[in-house]
Amino acid sequence: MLRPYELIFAAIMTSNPVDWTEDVAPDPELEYRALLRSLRRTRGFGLFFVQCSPAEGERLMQKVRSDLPQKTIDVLKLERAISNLYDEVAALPNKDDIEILFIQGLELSLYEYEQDKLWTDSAERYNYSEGSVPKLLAHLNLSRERFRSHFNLCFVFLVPLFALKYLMRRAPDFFDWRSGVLEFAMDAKQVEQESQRLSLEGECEEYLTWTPQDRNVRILELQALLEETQQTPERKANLLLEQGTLFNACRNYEAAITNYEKALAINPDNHQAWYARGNTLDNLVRLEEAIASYDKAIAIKPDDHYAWHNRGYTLDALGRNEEAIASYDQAIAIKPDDHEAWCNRGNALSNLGRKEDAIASYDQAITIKPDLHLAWYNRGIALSNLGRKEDAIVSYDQAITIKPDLHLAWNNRGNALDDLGRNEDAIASYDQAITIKPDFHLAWNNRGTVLNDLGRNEEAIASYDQAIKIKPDDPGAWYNKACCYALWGKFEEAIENLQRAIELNLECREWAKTDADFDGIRQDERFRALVGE
Amino acid sequence: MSILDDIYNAFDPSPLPADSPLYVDCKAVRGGADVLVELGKKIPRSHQSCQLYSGHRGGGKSTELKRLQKDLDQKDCFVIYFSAEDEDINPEDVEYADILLACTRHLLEGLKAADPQPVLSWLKERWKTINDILQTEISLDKLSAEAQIQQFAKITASIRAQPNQRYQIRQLIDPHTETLVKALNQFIADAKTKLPAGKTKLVVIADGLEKITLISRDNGRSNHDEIFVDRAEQLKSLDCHIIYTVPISLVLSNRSSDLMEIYNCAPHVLPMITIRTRDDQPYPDGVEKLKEIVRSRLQSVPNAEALSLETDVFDDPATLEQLCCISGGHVRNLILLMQLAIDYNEDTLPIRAPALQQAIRQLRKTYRNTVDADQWALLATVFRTKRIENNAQYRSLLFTRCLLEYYDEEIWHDVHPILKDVPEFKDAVAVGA
Repeated sequence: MLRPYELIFAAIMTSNPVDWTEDVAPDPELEYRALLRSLRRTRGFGLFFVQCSPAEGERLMQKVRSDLPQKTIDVLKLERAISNLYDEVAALPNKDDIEILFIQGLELSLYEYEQDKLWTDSAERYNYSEGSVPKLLAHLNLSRERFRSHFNLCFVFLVPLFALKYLMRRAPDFFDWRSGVLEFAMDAKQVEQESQRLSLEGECEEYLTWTPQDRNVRILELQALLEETQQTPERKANLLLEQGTLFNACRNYEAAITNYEKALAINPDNHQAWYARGNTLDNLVRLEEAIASYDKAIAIKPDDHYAWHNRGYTLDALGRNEEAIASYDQAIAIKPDDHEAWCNRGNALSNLGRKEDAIASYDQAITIKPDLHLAWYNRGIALSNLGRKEDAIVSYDQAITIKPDLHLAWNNRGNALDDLGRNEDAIASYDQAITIKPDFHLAWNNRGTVLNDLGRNEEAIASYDQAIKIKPDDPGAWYNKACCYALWGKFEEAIENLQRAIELNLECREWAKTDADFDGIRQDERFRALVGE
Repeated sequence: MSILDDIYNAFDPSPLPADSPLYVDCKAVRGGADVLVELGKKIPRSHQSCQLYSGHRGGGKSTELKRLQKDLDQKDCFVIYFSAEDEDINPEDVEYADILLACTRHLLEGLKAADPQPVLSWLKERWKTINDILQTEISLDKLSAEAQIQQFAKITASIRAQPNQRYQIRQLIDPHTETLVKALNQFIADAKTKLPAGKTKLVVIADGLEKITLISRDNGRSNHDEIFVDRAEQLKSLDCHIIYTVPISLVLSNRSSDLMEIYNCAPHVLPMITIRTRDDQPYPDGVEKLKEIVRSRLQSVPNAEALSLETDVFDDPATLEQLCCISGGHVRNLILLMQLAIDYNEDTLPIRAPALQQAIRQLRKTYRNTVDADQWALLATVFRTKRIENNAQYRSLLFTRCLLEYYDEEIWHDVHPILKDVPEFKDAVAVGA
């Protein structure tokens, strides 16, 4: 009997010789039918790998169940990292009846492995990947004969791409007994949905709250999604940006930059990528490059106030305060309520000695955001510098009210109180700073000075000793201790401590020459020798 | 059940048993490589020998070794063949002592007639300490010899299990491997006098050792070097004929000349079936041999004997030709491509070109996934020169079979044909030209 279909087929074949050098396109329907045929045909042991997303895997299993009702199908869902799959399968109560066993979650046993390296580029992966081997894969590689002789069934591993690559490379002998690697790509809509799902977070702060493991998992999800066939360049750029942000949160700045640059290769006008790249370069203290990257972002989007703002911050770090102020001014012109820009602008002004202007800038920040404790704190410093100690104390108090554990404010407040002669209050303020941060050696040192002024010598020495214990190479504490002993009349100890201070910093010698605290021992031979008189 | 189902199941990727009717002798197209001659010839001529055997995974090593076993069995040899699995050795950090213990276990199990006393005495002397480590209280005296032998399995098992115990047991055994070898050799000496009638020689074939996953150390060496080079003296000191399989990448390691010196011979490598010559010309003899492999499997299928391979099974002789050529002369790739083509095909014969195209696409993707961006240029170089250099990158490509080893009077290498039409490869060739 003639079968027209085949005749036509044959006719096509003969008239068009096959071009073996060109790859044919994968076809999801064909792929599924091929898998179904293998599963139906295989008698006894068989090994298949299916590259798919978890959601796609669920759909696939359901479809296979309904298309192969005559087969006994089961699923082994691994919920945690394992090192021995054989035992897991052997423990299945119905293992002798199962004909097809889907295995999900193999990748969980790879996440733990070489946490820092797992998710880098495949090219980098090669370089380290031979350094060790995930336990599960080493086990599989040596166990294929055992699997075949003891399990008379078809294994179908549902895995993401990265796990597939690991299997190829690190369990090659096991993998080599496969009868197929099928790929079920998401369709365009699924890729879009999944891309959207993974692009939602976006903020580095958000990722910082995640566990390293969660970040790893997300990076691997992104990598898989990036390789989907239905991916568009635009979405790809977004996902790369997302991945860069994650790498940033992992403090893998180099990898972050690589991702931003890949996004920029797709679209050089992606201002967010230039901006994010700038931030990462700033983290790497590659400040000039960071500024150039911000400049790019601004050239593309002149009203990108984030870029103007962070550019100001980086310029500030380079000591280019005037330019920093100009950059903050731009940010503020675009977004007048950018309180952080007002605050940072205040710092730059303060650095230039323009304290009044600085205070005005902090005031703007506080007007916009009254609970911006850093603005209150910095404002306090500026006021203090201007000699307005009472006002400074009010400002520090505000900072502390908003953020009671701001030890720096407690310390500075102590200094201001001391300047006003309110010694006891100053000591109480230092005590607060120390309670919050017991290794805050500056506060210990300052506290010693006030106690010294009060003539409470023993307590002063004890306070200095604490400072020294925390930071033994701090010449200031040794010097203050020497002063204290000199005033106390304990010349021997004064000389010893002064000597140590001078050893740590020659400048102490100059201070001692004119410091009235040492008047009592100025004629002492050893003192004269020490200061070189 | 359609005939295609039967054909599909005839293409099983696992090694063939020794007398399988599916076996096709490929010696002539493997540059004359014949395991029976190359490994086999040394055995009748000497009292003791230690040889290494290697080749690409899936290239036919185990099939060849099983043939060798049968051949030797038919002569005056008593052969113990075992394929090391994770029952024998710990996959994470295999050491030579593990291999020695695995050999011990299989020898004890295989030579029931011989007196195990020397080995058991060795065990007994260390039993107290081993018991302490294993935290058991088994008295060897109360056990039958059989059960005592099983304790060896237990030691190997614990070497696999707890990292702590593993370390301690190795600490215990390492200094005594010499005495263990001595005891084993006493046992072997006795066993040789009690071999079945007509048998005068004892041969151990330790297969599967090449599956020990490669782990590179920071100093540029690997666990394979540590096992097969550093501990060669112990590995070759058993008083019988022993053949170990080793990873193909080791054969090309920076210490391959050491290897040759230590083992007194070059490791034998099973080359691929030549499908193109060294000067990149078609090699019809090799392709014909691959067709014969396909044919032999078909002939095992009832109702398929009468079918013509060229016209009934395949839609066109060119499809069959392509199947054979694209396999690179690698048997397991050939088998896999055949299975895939059957799956991508409609449920009736013949197998059509578009189905094979899908099969090739799938296998190509797998190979492509194992190549890193910076390796394409290396592949292009080998494609031009047909030679590889002795470094880690080339070794890695051999290990992943992106480079295949052929033999024709001397060893040469080529890129796996499945990669030759990959755009990255074409680009790399164009750049290098």
